[in-house]
Amino acid sequence: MRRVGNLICVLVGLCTLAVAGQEKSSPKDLPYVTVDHPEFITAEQASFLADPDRLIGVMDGKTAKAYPAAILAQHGCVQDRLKAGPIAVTW
Amino acid sequence: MLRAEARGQPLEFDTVGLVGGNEVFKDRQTGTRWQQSSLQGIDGPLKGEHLQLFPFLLTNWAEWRRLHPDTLVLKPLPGYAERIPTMNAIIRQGLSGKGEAPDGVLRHDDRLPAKQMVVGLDFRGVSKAFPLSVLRQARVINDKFGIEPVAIIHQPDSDTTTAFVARAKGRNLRFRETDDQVKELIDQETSSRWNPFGLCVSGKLRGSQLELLILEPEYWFAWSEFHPDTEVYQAVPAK
Repeated sequence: MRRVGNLICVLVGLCTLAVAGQEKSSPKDLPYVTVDHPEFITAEQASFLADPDRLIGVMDGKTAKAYPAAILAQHGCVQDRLKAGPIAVTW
Repeated sequence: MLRAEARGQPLEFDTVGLVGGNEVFKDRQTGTRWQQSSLQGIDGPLKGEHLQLFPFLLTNWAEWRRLHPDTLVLKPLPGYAERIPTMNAIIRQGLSGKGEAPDGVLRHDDRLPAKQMVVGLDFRGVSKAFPLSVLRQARVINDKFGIEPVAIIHQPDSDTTTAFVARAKGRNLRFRETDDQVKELIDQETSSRWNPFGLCVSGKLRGSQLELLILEPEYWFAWSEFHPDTEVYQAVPAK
């Protein structure tokens, strides 16, 4: 699972190159970098998630937090600060 | 999922490349490089230190939302949302177990296919890998790490695996599922009923919570590369 992040970056990079010529909007080169200041939305707002999509879930005290794998895999690492201390969510 | 600290000092990490087939992070505070699979400092001021895992659940959106309807969700940064459907397709493909190990893997262990997904558990000095393909069949595994009884529970509909020290109120327990999807378990010793998250919901042990163990989901090539002494759980035909 952990290695998958890099592989995905390579694959997506190749896919992006392959379709770049066909897209009207210029594809942005999105960097594979750590997220330092994560922001959160509600479950209702997370319309990009479908039932079978993988995620990593944690409890922050009584608050549940979900880190979708499809976002983690584009960054490698998300830094967050929980009541229990700082964490690094990795993929 | 790591506690981002060592020796009481908070750390922040950047991905800086690979050693073998596995990612390496460098922390901004000390410059130490950390191997993701072994959680060990491999060079720099904190070389030899180990990072600690933080409890987490790898599951799917349907199961997590069922457990926590009020969950918060990480917001994608601008631009990154567009790639989410593509990424999800690739991640699903990764669960299939097919494919070769990447170039540069330090050692190959042919006990399992390179890209078989496993959940690894380091506990009481024992490393053991549970292949996803075996978990989907077995669903409930009553195992031992040294002398410690350990239960591994797999819910097949969401591919969610949990693990616990199988002991409550001083009694070692053995479990079996009561339904195909493993939404409930029963222990042989007291016939109490448990949910797959280690909480006893009815019976003599009602209210007991088993000690949670943190599993590490990885490809076999990455787990075996940095856990050379790992055992591989073999399915036992009769339960």
